Amino acid sequence: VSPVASVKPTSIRVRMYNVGFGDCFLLTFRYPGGTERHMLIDYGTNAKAKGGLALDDLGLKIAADTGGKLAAVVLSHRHRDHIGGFDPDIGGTSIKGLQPDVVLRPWTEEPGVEESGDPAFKLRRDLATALRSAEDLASDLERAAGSDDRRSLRGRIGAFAARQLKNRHAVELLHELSEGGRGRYLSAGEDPGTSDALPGVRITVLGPPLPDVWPAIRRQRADDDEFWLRMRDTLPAALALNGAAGDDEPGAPAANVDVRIGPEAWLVDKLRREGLHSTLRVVLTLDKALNNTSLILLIEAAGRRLLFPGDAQIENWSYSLSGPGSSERLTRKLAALDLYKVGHHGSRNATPKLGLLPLWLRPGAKRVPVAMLSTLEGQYDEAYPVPAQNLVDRLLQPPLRLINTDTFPTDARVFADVEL
Amino acid sequence: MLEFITDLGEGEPVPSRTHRFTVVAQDPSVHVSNADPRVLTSVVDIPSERYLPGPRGGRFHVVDVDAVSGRVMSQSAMEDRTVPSVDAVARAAATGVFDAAARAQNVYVVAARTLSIFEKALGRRIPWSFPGHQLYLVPAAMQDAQAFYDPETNAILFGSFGGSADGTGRSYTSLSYDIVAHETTHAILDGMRHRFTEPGLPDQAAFHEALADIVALLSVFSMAEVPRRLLDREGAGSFMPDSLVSMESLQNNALFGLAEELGAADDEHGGDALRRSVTMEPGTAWKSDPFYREPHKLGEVLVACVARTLLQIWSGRLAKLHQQGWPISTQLAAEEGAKSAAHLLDMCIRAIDYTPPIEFQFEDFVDAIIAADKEVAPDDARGYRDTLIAVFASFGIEDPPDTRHDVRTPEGRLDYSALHLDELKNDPDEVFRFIWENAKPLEIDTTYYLAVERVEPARRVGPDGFVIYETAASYVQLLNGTVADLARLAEEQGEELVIPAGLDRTTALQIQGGGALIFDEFGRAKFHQRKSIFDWLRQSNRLAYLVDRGRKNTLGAYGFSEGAADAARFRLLHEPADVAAESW
Repeated sequence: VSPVASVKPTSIRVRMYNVGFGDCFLLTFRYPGGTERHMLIDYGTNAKAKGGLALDDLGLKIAADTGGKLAAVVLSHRHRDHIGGFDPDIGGTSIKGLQPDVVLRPWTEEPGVEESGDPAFKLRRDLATALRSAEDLASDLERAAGSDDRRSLRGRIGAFAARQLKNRHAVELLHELSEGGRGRYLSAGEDPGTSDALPGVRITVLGPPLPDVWPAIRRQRADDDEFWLRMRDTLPAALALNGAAGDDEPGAPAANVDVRIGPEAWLVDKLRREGLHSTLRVVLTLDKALNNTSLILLIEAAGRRLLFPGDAQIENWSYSLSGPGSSERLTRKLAALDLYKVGHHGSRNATPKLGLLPLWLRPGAKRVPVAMLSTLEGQYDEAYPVPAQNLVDRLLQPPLRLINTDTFPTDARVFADVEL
Repeated sequence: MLEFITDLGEGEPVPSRTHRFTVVAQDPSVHVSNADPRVLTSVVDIPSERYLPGPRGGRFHVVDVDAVSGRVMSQSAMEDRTVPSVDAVARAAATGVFDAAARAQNVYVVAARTLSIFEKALGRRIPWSFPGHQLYLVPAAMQDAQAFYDPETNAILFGSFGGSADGTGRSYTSLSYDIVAHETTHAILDGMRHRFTEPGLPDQAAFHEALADIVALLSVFSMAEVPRRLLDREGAGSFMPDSLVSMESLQNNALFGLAEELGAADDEHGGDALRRSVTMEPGTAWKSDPFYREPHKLGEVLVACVARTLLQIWSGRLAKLHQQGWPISTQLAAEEGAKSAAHLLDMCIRAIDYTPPIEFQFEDFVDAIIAADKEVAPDDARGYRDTLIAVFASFGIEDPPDTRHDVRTPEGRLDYSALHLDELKNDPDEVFRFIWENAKPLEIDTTYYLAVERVEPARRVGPDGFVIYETAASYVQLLNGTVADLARLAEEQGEELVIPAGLDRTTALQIQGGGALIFDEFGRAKFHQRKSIFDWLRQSNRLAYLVDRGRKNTLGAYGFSEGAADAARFRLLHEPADVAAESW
């Protein structure tokens, strides 16, 4: 029985499951008369929390928590730590059984977007195509690295590359769930078309912006297919070559390099290590580009405001905070949030320091959001600590409040449960 | 080994102090004029030396290695390009094919010219920041539209980008004059002021970027071919139209055009920045704009000041010629521009000795330029100093009244009785002794750690033809404690160290200070440019900035050298400003 359009939720319950380094949120909208509607936002992990729930078991828990039905599934972007659970061999089958009414994904996920012939969409096509090439590069690199042991540089490259893989089975399941007009492929400003599935819930899409509207999103080679193809020509081979000796310590014999002992050999040896570092940076660039495809959703219901930005980086945020998507009205709303899902597991580039914090900390603010952080320290990469300690420290200072999965006890049953 | 023979003399070859080479004046996409499709090149002189394959000379060593795969050009291929049996760039310009030999020569000669501009201005050799004498130059290190100085590998790595798979149409940053000069300047400044990458106020890191851009801009401009082309792109006239003489039109036509072209080759840094600098209008709005809290963007303000000063000097010189009523030849106007640029560049470089070695702020730069220039050219007949002071002031950067002290006429006389002249000119221990004995008149607190780090000679030739000998010494002061300890110390001195809200008072903090002392040819101190370690307002600002940006080391302490890998020190400078501003 579908509630009439005038029906509105009276309260919201937010569960943050402890998936470790990943995201999995269940939003429950309660309607008058005791009915509930559920929205799942992301379902994946890169590293399970100690004692935390395994993803496949979590699928069963979600099924139980939703009472067998999902109104909406949101995939913020396709990184493993957000999508992994949708693999039918993991938790996808459980989710499929919940028959979601709508599936919200960023515009880059629309099947065939990279083949669209419309010249007006060239920039979108370029970006989507480049992202696919970048993912191909990641899978080549993962294979060439042959290790994800983060004690070596090669392993760090391998671990990073593994997180960029296509997650084909999970994507296929989401495609299947999207059939019959249930799929939404969204960009900033677009109506998500969720009013039937979630009556009385207003969802505003703040990101990702389209590349033709907001060039910042194309920064750092994000849409430079040539670049990724060229990297694919050189990097995996070089990684295999340089990593052949099995370690990347100075003094390790350089494979297959014909250079006489002397100052040139010294430089070549140093650069070999530098080369591995720059490969790591290239994979980071790719990570960032994919993060920037994240949906940023402002969800308003029951007099509450929730902000879920996925892993959006500054270039994505800026469209709505200071670019064409910004407005005084939006600023007022962002200044009065009830819940903020901390972007990108607390990394240093995903919670705008000037764009958001001053809004929340302005004198006389009536509402201050509770921040929810789903993360696991020491899992990202040693050179780029996530979560950033500064950010965590700041969010812990009153009047802000922080709920951080990383501080949860080692008990698979524990999850954060917030009533709004 | 090849003997190099100059073409200066008739008959008997004369051994020369310089070698003459062709370089790409901007980059290979810039042509002589719209009518002449040859690549714009310039012939420059660099100090003569013996070359080994690479080329490899006394200070630079070109190694053509692909940094990603570690593949090196074969030794025999490198033998072939032992300079200068053939001027590879001249040959490339004639054929239009810039091969590996042309890249190797171009990168070598531009780097060597940049170093020689510094050495000429300062009258001495300048060491690298790392032990060793030869900086590696890698002309095609990676496939990326960037180049960077990497003190960890003692190298500058140049990337290449674009073009098709077989390599045709590729752009090489090693063929862009400004990029090579920019990165070489990072290496040179790191050798002169290695503490400018320490955690400090944003000005300090900004100065690295700013000076690199200033040297790039002015050294490109000081090759007369460059302004010549900017004034006459069609390659048509030999006289300058009157309409071009004004400062505005020089800005719009010459300088802005150049900034656009320099930017085109390097989208990651440099490009946009230079364009913004050249068009930045005087004002002080940048001081309250949070984006200008970021070193990368902040540097643009200093570049803007210098670019505007160049325009004023140049247009002033042209106006003088114009007053005489004759039409000005384009060549002459270009040469005036090149001379103005070279002169201004000299002024900027000479100033470095007069800057404090630590805790640098923008005001110190204008102060240092003026002080250094006054010593060389006391008269300032052309009013360059006044122009410069006015331009910097128009951007809100003013000579601070109380940091530099003329110590020639101090109230308490300086005591040299326990010192020796020769030692004072080159021995840090002797300079320390000088400070120790004269702590009171110099107003230096010697209670805490103080170390003299550099004592270096400087020789400059003034416009009157006489040589000015100076000795430039620099010292640093460091003091470690908890935030609470240091706040208490400030209180004891009747001042306050402002502790940022939320900062744990047991957090470890290092405060820094230091100064530069300039001695004249008789070993008498002339100037003392200092950043007192007990300037608590500055220390409060620095602490607030470091805490705000989260610049602490792995132990959670603020203000110490972060122990970041050397390479990272410079890469951090290149983060886009908006990203840096929004980051934690």
